[in-house]
Amino acid sequence: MHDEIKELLSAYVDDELSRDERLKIEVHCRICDECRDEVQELIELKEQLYTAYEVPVPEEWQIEQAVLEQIQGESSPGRLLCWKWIAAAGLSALLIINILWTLTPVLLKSIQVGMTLTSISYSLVHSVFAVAGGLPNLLEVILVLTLIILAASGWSVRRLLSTKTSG
Amino acid sequence: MDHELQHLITDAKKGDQDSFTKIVQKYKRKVYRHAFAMVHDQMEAEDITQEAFVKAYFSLDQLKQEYAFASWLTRIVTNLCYDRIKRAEKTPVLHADPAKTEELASNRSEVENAHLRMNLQYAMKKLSPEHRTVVVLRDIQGFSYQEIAEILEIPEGTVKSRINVARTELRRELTRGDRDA
Ligand SMILES: [Zn+2]
Repeated sequence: MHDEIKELLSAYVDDELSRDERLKIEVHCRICDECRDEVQELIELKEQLYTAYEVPVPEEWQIEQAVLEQIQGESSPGRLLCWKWIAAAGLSALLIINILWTLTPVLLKSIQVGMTLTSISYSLVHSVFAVAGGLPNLLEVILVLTLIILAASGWSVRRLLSTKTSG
Repeated sequence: MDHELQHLITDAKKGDQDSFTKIVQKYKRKVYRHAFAMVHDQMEAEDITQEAFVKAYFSLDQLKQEYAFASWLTRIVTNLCYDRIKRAEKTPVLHADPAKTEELASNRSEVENAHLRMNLQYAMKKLSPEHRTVVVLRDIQGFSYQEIAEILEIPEGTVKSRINVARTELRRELTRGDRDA
């Protein structure tokens, strides 16, 4: 009985026992000095623990300020995403350079092809012009106009391409 | 749980930092005391307190029941203390505690109280983190066994026996201290 009661004394001083258990302890303590003393000691221990840690919060401590600053620092993209952003930017820059590097020969080739195509169409236009010489007037005027437009566009395309390659 | 706190939490959840500052004001003593009783070091207790509030702020939306704020915050503090203690066990440091306690004694001119406090803190340091935690939660923070069980996610019976064992060890350590002195 005594040992069984002894195990419950800690919960007894915390007032965490059922009514029946509490009564059992109170009855036992009337006849057992050891348990009665222990209850007293446990109550004292609880009080002493509370006072032992009634430590004052440090006076100069600006905890609210410190917490706020850390929260703001961590929630602003400036700090939280800083490294991610730098990494992402660096990676995409590398990727673009890489693409340009591999594509440069292809681009140069396609410009050359474009220029050849333009000159071919230019000479084609010339021959069409010569063929159209035998046709009636109205058609001739339309053809000449079309050819002028074609030639102009061809010339401008070539000019554009040449400035691109030289620049 | 008072209405004011409920409002503060609701506003803080929406990102209102002023409301959260008020929550910090309200709970800083409790959190600091808890941390101090676990690590027995002012600087470290300050660090833990700050870390706990920052962590709480960023996980506020995980707090489903606002009335459970105190328990929820205590769980955060408990886990941070465990982490610190574990880390400290790996890298032991020398604490100059006696000097600090002496200073405390002369400041308060309650030599006897200071002596008891010193003995108790010494005995607490000897407990395992698990046993120290239940004592802190019960006798310093005043949580019920049921609340402690929820905070630590352990059965209530375990809370009961842990507190019992912790107190037995504390008393043994204290009587040993008295004998030595
Ligand atoms: Zn007995």
